[in-house]
Amino acid sequence: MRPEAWTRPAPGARLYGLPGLALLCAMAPHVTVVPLWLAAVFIATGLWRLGAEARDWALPNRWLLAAATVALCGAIGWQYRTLFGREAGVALLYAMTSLKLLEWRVHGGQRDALVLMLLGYLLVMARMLYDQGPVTALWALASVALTLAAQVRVASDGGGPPVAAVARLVGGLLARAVPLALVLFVLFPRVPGPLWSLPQDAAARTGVGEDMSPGTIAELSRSDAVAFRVRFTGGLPAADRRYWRGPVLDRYDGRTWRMSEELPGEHFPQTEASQALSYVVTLEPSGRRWLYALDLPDSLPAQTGVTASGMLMRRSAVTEVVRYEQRSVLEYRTGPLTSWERSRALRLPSTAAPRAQALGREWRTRFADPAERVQAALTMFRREPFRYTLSPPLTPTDAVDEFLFDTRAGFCEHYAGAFVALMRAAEVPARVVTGYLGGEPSPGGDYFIVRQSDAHAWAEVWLEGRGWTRIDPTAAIAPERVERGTASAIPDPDSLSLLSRRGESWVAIALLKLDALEYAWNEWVLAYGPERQRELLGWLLGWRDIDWRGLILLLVSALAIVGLALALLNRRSRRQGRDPLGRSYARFCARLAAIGLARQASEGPLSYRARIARLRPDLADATGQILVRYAELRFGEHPDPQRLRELNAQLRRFRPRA
Amino acid sequence: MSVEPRILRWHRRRHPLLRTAHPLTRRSIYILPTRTGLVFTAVLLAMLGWSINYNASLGFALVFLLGTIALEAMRRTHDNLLGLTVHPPLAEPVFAGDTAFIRLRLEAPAGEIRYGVVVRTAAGVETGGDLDGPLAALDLPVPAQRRGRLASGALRVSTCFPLGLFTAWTWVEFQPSGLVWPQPAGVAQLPAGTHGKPQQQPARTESAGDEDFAGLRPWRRGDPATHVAWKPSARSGQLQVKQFSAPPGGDELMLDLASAPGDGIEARLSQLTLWTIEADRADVRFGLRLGATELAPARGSAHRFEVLERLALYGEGADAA
Repeated sequence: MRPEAWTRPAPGARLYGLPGLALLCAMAPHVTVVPLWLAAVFIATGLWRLGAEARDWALPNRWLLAAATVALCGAIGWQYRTLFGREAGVALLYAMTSLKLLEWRVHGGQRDALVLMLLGYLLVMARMLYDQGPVTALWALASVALTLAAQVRVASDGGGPPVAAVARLVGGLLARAVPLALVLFVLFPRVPGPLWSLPQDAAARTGVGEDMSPGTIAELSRSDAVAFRVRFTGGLPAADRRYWRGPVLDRYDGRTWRMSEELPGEHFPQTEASQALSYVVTLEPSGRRWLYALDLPDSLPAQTGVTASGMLMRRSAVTEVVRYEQRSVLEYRTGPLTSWERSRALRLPSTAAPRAQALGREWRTRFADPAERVQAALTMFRREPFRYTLSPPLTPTDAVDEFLFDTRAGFCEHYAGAFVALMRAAEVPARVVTGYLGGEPSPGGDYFIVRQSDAHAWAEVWLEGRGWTRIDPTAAIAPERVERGTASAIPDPDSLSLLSRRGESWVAIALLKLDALEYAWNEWVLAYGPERQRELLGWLLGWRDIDWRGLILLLVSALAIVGLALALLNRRSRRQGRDPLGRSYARFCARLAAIGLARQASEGPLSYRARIARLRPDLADATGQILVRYAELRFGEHPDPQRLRELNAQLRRFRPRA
Repeated sequence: MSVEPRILRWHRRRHPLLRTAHPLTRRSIYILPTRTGLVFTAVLLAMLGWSINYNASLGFALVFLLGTIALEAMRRTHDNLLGLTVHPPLAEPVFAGDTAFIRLRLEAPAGEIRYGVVVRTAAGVETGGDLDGPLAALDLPVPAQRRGRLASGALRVSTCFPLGLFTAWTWVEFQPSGLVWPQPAGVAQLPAGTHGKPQQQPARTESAGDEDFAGLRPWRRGDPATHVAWKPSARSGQLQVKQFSAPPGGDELMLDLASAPGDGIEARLSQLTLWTIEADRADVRFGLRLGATELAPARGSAHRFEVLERLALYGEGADAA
């Protein structure tokens, strides 16, 4: 004889719904980055898994799974040429999750299922290495909630609460966890920079790069991705002064301009300068080490140095959203050139651009003053039929000569490159500077959006007495590019993407409004790093220059306070239980106890009523009604919720005085 | 887990054996991460390293959220046992060497549902489920090794609900309460009656008894089910019991510990137990003498239970009363 007092549902009976949904949610966004065949593998294993459940299909045995694992690892290694780094790592995670689906059995599969849930959390994490926008955050929250629900189901081995109760439970877990998580997010000591060197995969992003050849900037111009956003804290710079300085390119091989290796230091190149302009940049991950600043930077963000050519260089590549407060001087002079710097700024390969070199040599003999040679080049651009276009004819043999003397059509990189080549031939030290020009004010006007389509290349020449001087040859041919952006300067603005066109269409306006949300998100969530943490605590608590010891102290005390508050909340809710009527009754008794009429433990409502009527006839009516109603609700056959509401209303009015 | 026996020893020093219903309190609930919990921690640490390395702010947020969720889950796992009342187990008597089934009743506090509560016996048998009524009963096998009171041992009540990251547990160990009769052993042949005429008796077995069928009488409380005559009962609409003629050559038997064969008290008690069964089966009136105490001869299952209980509790002091 052995009666089954507790019937447990067959294990696995309810296992597949929630865990499957949670995994689908966690896997879905990765489709954009994993190779298609891998996505196909996931769909195939998912279908197999479903078939195994619904149609009793056989699942593969361990040897087949092991072989599939090896095969998938090999395929991923072949696809990415490595098994490490972000891309390959995510692909591996994807593959393992797909295969684990097949390993997960109905019976005794609890551990497999729990492993799958852990993989689900890792998949959410992996997505954050690609995108951390507000939409991703919402998706991550949904995915975590689903995975938690699935984990409740899995941990109960198919039993456990019904779906609605699981949802409540997960909601409760999240609600209780968020305050503590917030404290940790704000106060957990953030350490700057990567702990170990990042694989190179982080560099595969669009943006101004470390070299420039014909077409590089034009290609960027077609993208309306945001490069960074700026808020000016003082005045606005004039439109023709919004040159955001990026890589300085001074090595030329006949086709491509490249950066020189320079050690960043703490000495700015300017020797004299106007008053500085302050602003805050929120830079999107670029995968590169340099930061952008208005020409020329005058302050150093954290972990950053400045090179002799005036570039801000960070210790590590920008793989996260970086927010930095920056100062720049718009009017400046730089010091004399060393002979080595001078020779570097004059070097041209002897085989490159023979016609341009000849023209430069001619100007050198004709104009004694280097400034006149500069003017000669700009005059040439203005007088001759040069065109500014996003899609110039190809210049297959020599970029500079063909552009200057044959096609005469190009984008800013053609003008800047040719101009610098001419100047070097004319013995004026010159170099190419790349970066961004301009920016679009946000609808509210409190910040500017600088997009990839604002990418630009200009030139600098070194002149005696003034030092490095910015010359933008594009301004000579297309002045509206400087004032109003690319779209107004090229004959075919439709080839630009929507937001680069600065149009007034309602879609563009709506997208710009959304951008404000993204900007706030970047400022407060994504750019929250060591510097922002220090700033925030300085502002909140007046604790400047807080170090990690101070942070740990703050963190522990804040966790203790929040934890205590939560514990008190728990205690209260436990004491009150889930009995609204009992809670009301307890409140009523407490009010009577306050005037010395505490209910005895042995007293029921009706004997309590009798005693009150005896001791305080003035309260007899009010308490009598309440107690009778309570007794009805508590012990009656069919308690009516409407009566409970009436009782509560009566209780609110009941304020006995001693 | 290897720490559990040590915790159990410690627990036993602090908590005497229970006699009555016992609500679980903080003092007796222990909690440790499960293996999944440890792996989860490792995953979180990896994710934290990942976030630090990539300066992924949202990654930090995710790690902290999951970490605090785990803490909250720990509290909930603990509270899933808190306030649960365990009632003393009920057990049907069994013979030593058999397996007793104890019925353990668990009571959740009013209005609450406790999911995933698992009870494990000292022998490692596990059962459990969701406690969604006010009172739930669990049947657990407990090996009955020796006669006397049944010790159900330290019953481990545990839960991993809700996330399976932690396991909270406690032990409940009640005063031995059920009955374990001595194991029947020895010779099946009944001894000669000590009242009435001493005479050699034939072996009394079920088949032998059938030959002495003497007629039917209405069923009375205590009649063994094997004696019910089903077909006549169905015809008459009333339960009829087959009546057997009194065994020839003496109608009373006195089972005496002092004169029972066997080495040692336990063997003799086993012999007496076997005779009790045999005598009851043969429907012989029999009595029991254990040293100074004596039980007058009678028949019927109530008498048999009385005899077996005395045999089970022989020498157990106050419990024997």
